[in-house]
Amino acid sequence: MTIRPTWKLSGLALAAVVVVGACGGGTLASQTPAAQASTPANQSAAPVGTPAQTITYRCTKGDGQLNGAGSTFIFPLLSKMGDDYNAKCGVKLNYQSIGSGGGIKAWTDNTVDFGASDAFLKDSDIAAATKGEPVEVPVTFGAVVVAYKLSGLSAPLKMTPDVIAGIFDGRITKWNDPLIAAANAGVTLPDTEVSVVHRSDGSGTTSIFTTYLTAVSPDWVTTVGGGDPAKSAGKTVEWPVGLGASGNEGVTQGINQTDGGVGYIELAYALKNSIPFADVQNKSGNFITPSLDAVKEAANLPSYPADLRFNLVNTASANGYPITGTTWLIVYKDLSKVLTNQDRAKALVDFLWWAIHEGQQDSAPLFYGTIPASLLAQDEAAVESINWNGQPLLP
Amino acid sequence: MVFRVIAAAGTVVALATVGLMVYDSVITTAPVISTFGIWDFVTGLRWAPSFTIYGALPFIFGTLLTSVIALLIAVPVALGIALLVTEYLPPRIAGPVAVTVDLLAAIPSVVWGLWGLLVLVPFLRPIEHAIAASAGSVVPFLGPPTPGPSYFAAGVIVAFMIIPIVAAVTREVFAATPRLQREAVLALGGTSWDVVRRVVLPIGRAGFLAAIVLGLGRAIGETIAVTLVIGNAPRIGSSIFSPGFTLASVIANEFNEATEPLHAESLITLGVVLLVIAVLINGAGLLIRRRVTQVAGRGS
Repeated sequence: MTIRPTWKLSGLALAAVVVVGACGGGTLASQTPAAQASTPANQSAAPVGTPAQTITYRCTKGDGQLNGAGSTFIFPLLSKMGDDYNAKCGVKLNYQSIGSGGGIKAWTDNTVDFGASDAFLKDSDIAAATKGEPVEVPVTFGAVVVAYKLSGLSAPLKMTPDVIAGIFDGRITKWNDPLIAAANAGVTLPDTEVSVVHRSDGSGTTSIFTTYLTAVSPDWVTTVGGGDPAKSAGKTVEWPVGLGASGNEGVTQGINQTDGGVGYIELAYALKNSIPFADVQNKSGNFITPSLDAVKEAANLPSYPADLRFNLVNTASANGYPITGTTWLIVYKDLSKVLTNQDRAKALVDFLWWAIHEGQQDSAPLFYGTIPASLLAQDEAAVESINWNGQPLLP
Repeated sequence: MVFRVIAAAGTVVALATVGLMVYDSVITTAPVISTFGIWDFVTGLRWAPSFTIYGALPFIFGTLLTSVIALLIAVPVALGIALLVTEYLPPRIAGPVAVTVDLLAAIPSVVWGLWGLLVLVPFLRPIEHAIAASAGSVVPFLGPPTPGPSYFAAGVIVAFMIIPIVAAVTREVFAATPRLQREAVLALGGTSWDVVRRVVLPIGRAGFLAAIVLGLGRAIGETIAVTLVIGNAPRIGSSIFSPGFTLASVIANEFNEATEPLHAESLITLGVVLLVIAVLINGAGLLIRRRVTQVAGRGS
């Protein structure tokens, strides 16, 4: 009887690992995506920089494997990339989708070769990484959609930033609220109660969504962050309304079950589950239907900061979808400080180089946005800057 | 001799693990306790990692409420099953029935949870809605809104999960009723109901209570199934149909991404709170089991 508490606690710890691991959406990787006419094959050709330039790939085997951890959002893509890269170079990719925060921690502690995060490193994260300077490489892009279930509605709803903030901070409680009606002239809205579903686990999806709300709505910052934008955006926020569900699957399920349900999920999940999602008004005032093209538009900035730490929510792009996010792969710049085997370091940069070029072809079939042409040169420079005690690792 | 050494080593390892775990947990809780104080942490109503504010009461409330709901449903059902199997059904049928109920205990909790999310919650929602619309206006804690995932849904799922445990233990207790006393009642012209009422229940009462405590122990620690159906809202709901949270499910939900200051430490402190509750319940179970042995005058 005395050992019972032990079981309970270790069970909890295990359970915690299992439940969050399971939320990553690993199922997506094996799914054939639903037909989506708007994502033609030309997307996969996009990342190749200048057409004249031929990209060459080196296959350093190193230890035959590379370890990564982090973002659940990128997991389906990295699984597919890992398979393809293993087939090409014989290097196995072990990726644990434990969440962005966990990925940053694992990278900081040097228990993995790379971390993956849906939010760029905060200054405090960089300060905490005592083993050296980071290189952050954006590798993929995605949209977070406001999905809903509302019976008796034919056309997709349009939402302004104020409507979205109002729904999620509790000001809007009925679907026929004047704010929603104003954005949807001619649509008969039912008197159904709004039933908000949000993530209960810490999530990069939440981070993208709340970063967006913080950027567009002072009301949201006041209600949720007590006036502090640092507290109204992040992987977890203090939700004033709604119920929590674990993972994109859980939120999708929660929305699907309730008439009047609304939540935020990744575009891929909404498409896969045929849940309607809202057109969102962007900074230019246009209502944009979420799609990979609209994500690409949003990610296409005139210029990017040198350290590649940028936000893609509410960008100025006229046809860009405003709730767009990025996943970064994070490695140490000087790998000699964290690895003992230089071949392993070469294997790592070889994989990164492949991932930002040929690996991008895995994106579109899985509903991920590819690296915009305007960003590719900086991505290449970032990978090239990774070195071994000052010596470049790429050929 | 060899066996004794192996057994002793096993015991030492088990005890050391418990000791290490308790030690480690208590050490980790130190910053939480020094920041908030034990009392304020345990009675705190607000859980807001983004504000570095941590209060455990919504989770303690959720854990206790779901457990109580589970017991209210599971105990009568389990008692009925135990009586049916030991007293009423012919052995040829009783055996398979007992095995079937026992098999429920082998269903993994994540399967229970998914079944709860996909089948039970949609099934319960109209019922909750009807109750909230009628009785809810008069009786407190039964009011709307009824989003579906709730303390009540979690309680029902946990009830399903503890029925086999409570039923199995109760069944064994009832089956151990001295044959002479049963026959004495029957010889005096009693019916089988008289046997149950005058012999089986009084003699088995303490053992039945121990079975309930065992079930309660399982109920308070249940994690995945509860997480999927409770709605995961760190608030004390105004109704049993409100979404809530339990100690175990908040740990499962938040531990992996607990990167805010004191977040991981606070979750571990919740684990210690859960541990204390579990120890108290197991202690109560131990006391009750002692009574069983004394009252019934038999071993095991």
